[in-house]
This record gives sequence, C-alpha cells and structure tokens, in this order.
Amino acid sequence: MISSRRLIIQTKWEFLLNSRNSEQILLLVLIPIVILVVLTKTTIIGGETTELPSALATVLTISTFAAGLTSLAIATAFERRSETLVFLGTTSLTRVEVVLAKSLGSLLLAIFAGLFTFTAAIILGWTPTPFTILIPLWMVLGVFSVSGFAYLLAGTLRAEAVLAIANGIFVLVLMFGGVIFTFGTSITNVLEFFPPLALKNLVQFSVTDGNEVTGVHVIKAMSILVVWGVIGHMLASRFFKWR
Amino acid sequence: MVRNQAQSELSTWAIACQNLSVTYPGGGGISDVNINFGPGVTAIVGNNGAGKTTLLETIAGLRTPNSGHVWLFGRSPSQWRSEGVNQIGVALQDGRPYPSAKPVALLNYLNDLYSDTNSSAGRPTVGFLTEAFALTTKTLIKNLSGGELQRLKCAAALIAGTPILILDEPTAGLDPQGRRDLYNLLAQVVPQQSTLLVSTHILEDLETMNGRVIALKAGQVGFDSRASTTTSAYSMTFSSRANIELTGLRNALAEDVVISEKMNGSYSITSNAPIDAAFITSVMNFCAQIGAEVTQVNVRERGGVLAEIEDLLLEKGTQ
Repeated sequence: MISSRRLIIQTKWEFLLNSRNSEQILLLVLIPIVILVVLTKTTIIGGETTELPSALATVLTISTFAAGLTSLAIATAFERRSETLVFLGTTSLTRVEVVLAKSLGSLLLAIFAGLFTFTAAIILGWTPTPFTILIPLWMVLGVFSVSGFAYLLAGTLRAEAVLAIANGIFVLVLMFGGVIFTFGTSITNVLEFFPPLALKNLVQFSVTDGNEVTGVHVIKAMSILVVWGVIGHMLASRFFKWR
Repeated sequence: MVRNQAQSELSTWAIACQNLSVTYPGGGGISDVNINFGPGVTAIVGNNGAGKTTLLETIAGLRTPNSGHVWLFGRSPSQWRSEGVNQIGVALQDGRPYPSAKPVALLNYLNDLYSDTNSSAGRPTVGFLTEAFALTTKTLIKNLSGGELQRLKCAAALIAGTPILILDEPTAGLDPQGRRDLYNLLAQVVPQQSTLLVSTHILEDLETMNGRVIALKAGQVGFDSRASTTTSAYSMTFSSRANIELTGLRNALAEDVVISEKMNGSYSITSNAPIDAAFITSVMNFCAQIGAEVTQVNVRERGGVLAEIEDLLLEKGTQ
C-alpha cells in the first residue's frame, strides 16, 4: 500500500534537504547554464557555435542525469552509511515509499534545474514550441532510466566509492554519450540505444521548431529509456543492501 | 483450532517472540528465544555480542528471522508495515539519521509523517519533546554531541506515539550523571501504559531503572526477573565463619527472607522488605550469640536480581 500523503511528505523533506546542499546547486543550476552559454556563444566545443535548441537539449539531458544518477547515487550512498535508511525502516514508511520518494525528489531537482535552464535559453533568444510541454514526461523517463543504476551503486558499494564512480559515469556520459560531442553515423546509431542520447533526442524533438521527427522515433527512444529503467530497478531490487 | 487458540493468547501480549532465531554467517545473533513483553519497563542486559541489538531489531521488523516469529499484538511486524501503521517507536544504537538536518526539523517532519496513520491523541508534540529533551535548534545533526544525539533519537522514537518503544543502548557513551538524567527523563516522559524495552550493557543502569530485567547470554535468555526465584528487592551480604546454622538465623529475622551461604563464610540474605538498621542489628545479634564474627556487611537495593545477573554475565569472562 502506498500512501500518497506520506509520499508527498517524504518527497518534500528530501527535496528540501537536497536543494540546500551547495554542491547540488552547483551541479544542477550553475554547470548547465555555463554549458548552455559556452555551446551557443563560443566555438570551444565542436569548432562552431551550437544551435540553441540543440544546446538546450544537451543541457536538460545533463541536468536529468546529474539529478537522477549522480546526485541520487551519492545521496543514497551516504544515507546508507549514516544508517538513515535503517532509521527510515523504523518509521511508518514502506520500502517502496522510501525509494519512490527518493526518485521523485531527484526528478523535482531536475525540473527545478530545468526551469533555470529554460529561463536562460529564453534570455538567449529561444522561443518555446508546442511540444515543450512534453519535457516533464521526458524527464520522468530519463530519471527512471538511470535511477535504478543509482540505487544499484548506492546499495552495494561504499559511499566513497560511489562518490568517485557516480561522478566518473557522469563525465563519461558528458564526453562519450553523444550528449555534448556528436559522433559519426555508425557510432550514433549505437549510442541511440543508451539513455543519454535517447533522452537528448526526445528533448531535442520537443524544443526544436518545425522538426522532422516521426512518431516511430519518439516511441523507439521512449522504449529504450523504459527498458534501461526496468533493468536497472530489477538489478537494484536484487542487490540493494539497506545497511 | 489449536493454532487459533495459541494465536489469540499471543495477541494479548504487546510483543511475543516465538522460537525466534536470527543467525549470522560469522556467528552471533539469537537462537530459539521465547519471551513475551507487556506494558511496563523491561531492561535487556547482556555483554557485547549477546544478541541484544539483534533481538530488538528483529522485534522492530528490521531483521528477518531465520526461524520463529515475532508478534506485535498478534500480528507480524511486516503485516503492520504493509499497512503503514507502526506499533513501535525505535531509537537505534548506531547511525546518525539525516546528518544535514536540524533536530527540530527532523521532529517536525516525523510528526507530519505520523499524522497520517498514528492518531494525534497521546502523541507528544514537537514542542514538548524539544523542551523535555533539551534539543538545540541551530546545530545540525552531524554536529550533535553523543548525549544530544541519544536524546534526539529517544525523542524521535517517542514522537510516533506508539504503544511499544524500543531504545537500544540509549546511554551508550554517556557519563554516569548523563545516564541517570536520561533514565529519569524517560521515566517522566514515557507513558505508563507503554511497553518499553531498553537495552544496556551497564549493570549500574539497572539500579536507576525499575522494572523487569532480562539478561541475554550467547543469544539466549539467561535470566528473566519474572521467572526467577530471586525476586527480592533488597539484599544483604556479609562474611563470617563457615556453616552458620541458617534456619536459626531465618527464625531470628522476618519470615520472607531467603538466606544462602554462597561460598565458605560468604552469606547472602534477600528480602522483599527494606533492609534497615534494625534488620542488620538482628543479624549481628544472632551471630554474636553463636560467637561468629561478622565482617564486610553490604546492603543493596534490588541486590538479589543484580547479584544473580552479575554472576551470569561475569561467568563468560572467566571461562
């Protein structure tokens, strides 16, 4: 049984605690905005300035992974070490509620960061498209696709190891996930089957005016995110240790 | 039908442990524990590794038994959990929950959480607990001292307003004054009708706590003051010559005393009535009459129980 009331209280509590953390603000608000400006105003990356919608898709994807993978894994790992997770086991929260509240909390962080990014993009001259309304749904799928792996890391390794590995994965996603740097067709065709590029393609479709993306592409990208999410959560529920 | 009858008898207890075993690959844990708890204070003592934490965490539903059952008012911890109702407020021995939060914020959040299923009637308020446990408002939980953290954990256990409370080593790391203060505070704050389980490895703590005492030894119940014949509240020990005629001494004293010679010339008298100066004089006079010199007189409150537990726990060290 899931109590929506308890879920809301728990999500709110975790969101407020996380959002007060200064590293989180840096990771979720400052870094994305800096990347947005660098991509659109300079030629440092890729030798030319990036189109605003494409840059926006890059940055929103980064925020979603920063929240749903890196910061979720690190926060959960340290809560496991401080035995906060065991403490939660003594409250009226069910295990499903504890996990769901964590995922929702990181989704809220991603959306919160997204609002800053959209504001920055509008200031830089971007106009919202009708499909922009779908962005929260893409973020839900994006967080779901990686949060299981965040729990898998947090629930099996020591907190310090999770800190290093989660940040390492984040950098790998940025560099080689097809999110910031683009690769040739053959490599891109492979990367499309991984969450970073699948999510970036969905976001890019929604923020670009007059795009040529078909429904099949959208459903394919959505399916990829769901499948990764199911795999990650199944592994986590098998191997996660609460202490 | 037999099972139903047994079940209904179990449900009269706040906590019923039935053939409970929890074992670990490296050893330790508890084995085949059968014990029930009702309203009132029960102190659980035992050496480190005797299984205190395992027993308490299993009752709290944090550990799954290898065999046997825990029943809380006749239902298992996981049954209660699946309904989102918690019957037990727990202060765990280890851990520092939500280190980046402030103590009062933690209590406010827990108060919100419990307002869903635990009725507010009989639940202490955040304001009351903050004041009673002298919780600071500004320090983060990660910076709390050991004593402050213990008080916060106790307050967090109480705020659920549950009929059962489990405090695992709440006096760990406190000095003697701090331990006494915490027990006095708990005696004031914990409702009379609660079933309160407190574990400790410090025997002096038992002198401050009034109630049932259970001693665990190597994962089993080695002593239960309810089952023990040594229920006397007071004890007197003294040394004299060996083989004093005990019946004569008993006749010289009140009816309800138990006298034994533990070793050659080492005697123990336990009594339900307080042992006062007149009592001691009677002993001295009797011994004087038979020409036995009396030395090393020692009178203790709750000494009968304490002495028995002390014997039990110290045995381990000498083996």
